[in-house]
Amino acid sequence: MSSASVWDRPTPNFFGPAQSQWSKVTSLSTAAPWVLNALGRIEDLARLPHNWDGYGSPRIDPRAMAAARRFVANVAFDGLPLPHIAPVLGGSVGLHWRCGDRELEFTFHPDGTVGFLKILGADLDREENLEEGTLRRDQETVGLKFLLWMVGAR
Amino acid sequence: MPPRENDPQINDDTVLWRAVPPSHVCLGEGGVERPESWAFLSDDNEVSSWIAAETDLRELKARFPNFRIAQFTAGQARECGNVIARDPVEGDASHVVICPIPGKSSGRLRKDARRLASKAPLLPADE
Repeated sequence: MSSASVWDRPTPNFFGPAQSQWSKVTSLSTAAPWVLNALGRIEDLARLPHNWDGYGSPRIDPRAMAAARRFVANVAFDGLPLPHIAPVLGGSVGLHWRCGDRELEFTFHPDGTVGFLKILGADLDREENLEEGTLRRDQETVGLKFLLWMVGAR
Repeated sequence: MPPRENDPQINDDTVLWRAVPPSHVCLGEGGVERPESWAFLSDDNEVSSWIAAETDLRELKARFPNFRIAQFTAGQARECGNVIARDPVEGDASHVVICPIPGKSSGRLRKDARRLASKAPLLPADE
């Protein structure tokens, strides 16, 4: 895979405001080592059958997989470990990063929203150690900020 | 469907088992395997579990091949904002459902699932 890139066939908008869509294309030949592995694992989720969890969950939705792939391609920096990639109920895709006592869970839903859960400390009974929310826009940008926080970048 | 009511006859120290797919097993603190929080969420907000004292572990494992079994107590599930109700299915009287207390927000659900996951160690794979 020499010159492959991860992108979603961007259509340039010559009349709209300047945007960064082109700059977000990530060359797989220069991406962090974990990225190809992660993209492959997300792709593998397509093979899961209905009821993959034994509790009746549907197959993983292609839109959720595409969103997770796009996210991974856009947050691909060297200091990140490989996330745990999991199918999630409702056809969603989960990415879970852990770095010391900080963790980040992202859940990519078929409707385009991304749920997140930040773990800020080991004692989960402390309310201030858990933060959750939903990303509806700028998901890669906000996600990248979260990930930089997780790895301790200041 | 009316909200499930907590069954007070299921004591807090009652041990429960939840079958967890291998894709929902991650490495936690100290490299110890643990369930992902997603293992404790359900589309219908009813998380299936089984009362250990009334369940044959081998039969449960046979029903969920290659799955892992997470173990926790009814009290721990309740501490995480849930009620526990019996839900006999297909003649299986040991089946219970763990349901959020009424009015729990989706954000609370996510946090409580993570909390419960951290309190539910996995039985050894070969047990």
